[in-house]
Amino acid sequence: MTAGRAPLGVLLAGYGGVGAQDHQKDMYAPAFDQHPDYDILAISDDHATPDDLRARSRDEARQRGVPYVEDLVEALELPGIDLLSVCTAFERRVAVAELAAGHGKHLLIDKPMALTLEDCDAIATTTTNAGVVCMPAHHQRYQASVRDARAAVAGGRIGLSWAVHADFIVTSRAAAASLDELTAWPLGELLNFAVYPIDCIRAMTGLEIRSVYATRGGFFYGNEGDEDFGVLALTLEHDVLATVSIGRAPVSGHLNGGLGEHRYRVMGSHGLLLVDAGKPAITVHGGGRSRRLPFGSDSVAVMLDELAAAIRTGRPADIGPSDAQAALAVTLAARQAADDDRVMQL
Amino acid sequence: MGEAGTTARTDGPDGQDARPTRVAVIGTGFVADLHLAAIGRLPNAELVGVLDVDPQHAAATAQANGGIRWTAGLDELTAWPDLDACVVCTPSDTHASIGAVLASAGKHVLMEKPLAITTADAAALVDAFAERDLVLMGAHTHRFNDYAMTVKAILDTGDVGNVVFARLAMLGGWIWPGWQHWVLDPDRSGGHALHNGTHVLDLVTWWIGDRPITVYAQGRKQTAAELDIHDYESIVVRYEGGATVVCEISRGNQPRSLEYREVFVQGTHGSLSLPWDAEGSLVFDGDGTSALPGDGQKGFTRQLASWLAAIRDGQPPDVTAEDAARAVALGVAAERSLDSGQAIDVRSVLGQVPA
Repeated sequence: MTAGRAPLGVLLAGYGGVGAQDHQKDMYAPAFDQHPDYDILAISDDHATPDDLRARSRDEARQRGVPYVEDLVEALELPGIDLLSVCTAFERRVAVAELAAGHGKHLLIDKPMALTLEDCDAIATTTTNAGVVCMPAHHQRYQASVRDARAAVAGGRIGLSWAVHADFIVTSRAAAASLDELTAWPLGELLNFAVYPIDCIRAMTGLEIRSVYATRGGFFYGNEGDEDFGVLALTLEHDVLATVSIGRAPVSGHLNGGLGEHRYRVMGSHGLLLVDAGKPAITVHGGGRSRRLPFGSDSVAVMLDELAAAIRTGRPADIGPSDAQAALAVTLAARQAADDDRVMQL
Repeated sequence: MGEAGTTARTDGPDGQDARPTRVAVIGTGFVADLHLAAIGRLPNAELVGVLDVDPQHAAATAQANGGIRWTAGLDELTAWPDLDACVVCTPSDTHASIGAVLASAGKHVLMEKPLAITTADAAALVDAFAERDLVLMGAHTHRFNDYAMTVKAILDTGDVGNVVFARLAMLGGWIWPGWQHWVLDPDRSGGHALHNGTHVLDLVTWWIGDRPITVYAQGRKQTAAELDIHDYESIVVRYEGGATVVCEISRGNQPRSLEYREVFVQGTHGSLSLPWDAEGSLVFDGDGTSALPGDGQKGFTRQLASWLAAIRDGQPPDVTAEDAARAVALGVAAERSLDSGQAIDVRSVLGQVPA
């Protein structure tokens, strides 16, 4: 926190997300707690939140010693609230964004920001018109190695980039107590994860994606729900090409832990750049197991740095709703491309 | 043309015929040296002569290999009475016609990749050699390298389960000659997917052991926009069992000295990775970071031994003619995909090539 400046007041809005994921509890709230620029002041839910999720929110509020406010509008009017951390249900995110923007509040929105391009557009419009910061939580672009690579590519370190190959493979099991819970997210892991590597590729190259070919399938959960693994072949502006493997491959004992593979190989006219988002890390053999422990700045914390800087200075954030929309457009086109076995133009 | 003495072998101690297989090498360019060295390493192979359309090159190679016989004509070579088999290292567009002549002459063949540059020619070669009970093996040398054999062995244990995804990249800089060279002419090389892409396409298909069904390729003309081939290709192959593979082959990378290999396989029960720095020795010098070269000859020697064993035992070679023809089909599909910008159904290019 800059000396003499009050922390930004945070309202935690909802504890939902993809399937049984709880990013509010597991990722955002702890990062706000740790960050000197923020202070969590209250918890609320949107009006359509079912009772069981409200109970979860109430319980979190009790544990934190902050008020749980049943009505989101009332929560927005609490003194000191500057921004919302939004993990409400996807179908009501536009409504939440409109309410927040109408009250002049900034937004951090869990990924994927929305499930339709129209919703992305509506969120972009309402937040832009209100002049508030709206940041989709694509925190992977803030991994240290990805940030370094982005700067190196932008600075011409490898000349003009012409190809990127990426792997984003989560090796932890889905946060679900049962197959029923797992299949409560019927839309597949592409919609869950693809946003991350797509966003990183866009950030590192500074280029838009123009076409996509893809394959997808269910390999790890007996084909329950939808796909758990996909491969995308992309063509970007200037005919830069890219491939990405994306999925959840729950195999135990990966040295890197839950995010087993997260890497990029960027090839340029004058060099080649290898990016391993799991590093820097120290490999440890001991205590009856081996693991690789990353160190350095945390990507969520850096994302919150950027959010605070944008809010405090009034400058545009490094990432906005249009980035979420672009990533979603590629993901939706990839699903269609895989189903039709053809290249989809964007 | 030149003359060479023959070194007939007597029966071995077990009474079996220990006479070496008498081999000629056709085409004496860069890759021929590796085959010639392999022949020199194996006691059951005897180099009896070389052929090159350039008489000077043929004569020089013959001289460098002990003053063996040489010729510039295929008819003369097939008339040599002591010739059993040939290693063909000529430009890719000549493979079909040379192979047909050698099959008619009753010679076994180790054919440099690609087997042919069209599936029709590849299928014709398969049939021509099968009809005469001759061994036709595709020189997909990577299969015989330590790393490739180790990946195959691990996958075959089942430890990583069924393959879901694999990535195989072989990247390097420009090593080809100037504009006049045949590798830059797609009518002669078939395109990079045939010329070098068949290496990676064959290798991953062998690793996975499944039937490829769709190919989608992307390419770059990285060294010069005026190229008629793509010096870099990224090829996505989808297999019947659901696996997807991304193969890359490049002669367009910078730095030009780059020699980069990467293998990653995600299976249903685990994964394996062979990253760029998995070599036993890496050197950091003024040229950057690279692996020490190791024994690059080993794969060629193993390959030759495999071919010779097939000739002697009458068993199918480790790389069958059908395998090599299938690699041709995948290369053709990749080039068609590059032309059309769409995924290609492998069945649409197979023709008479066995699926």
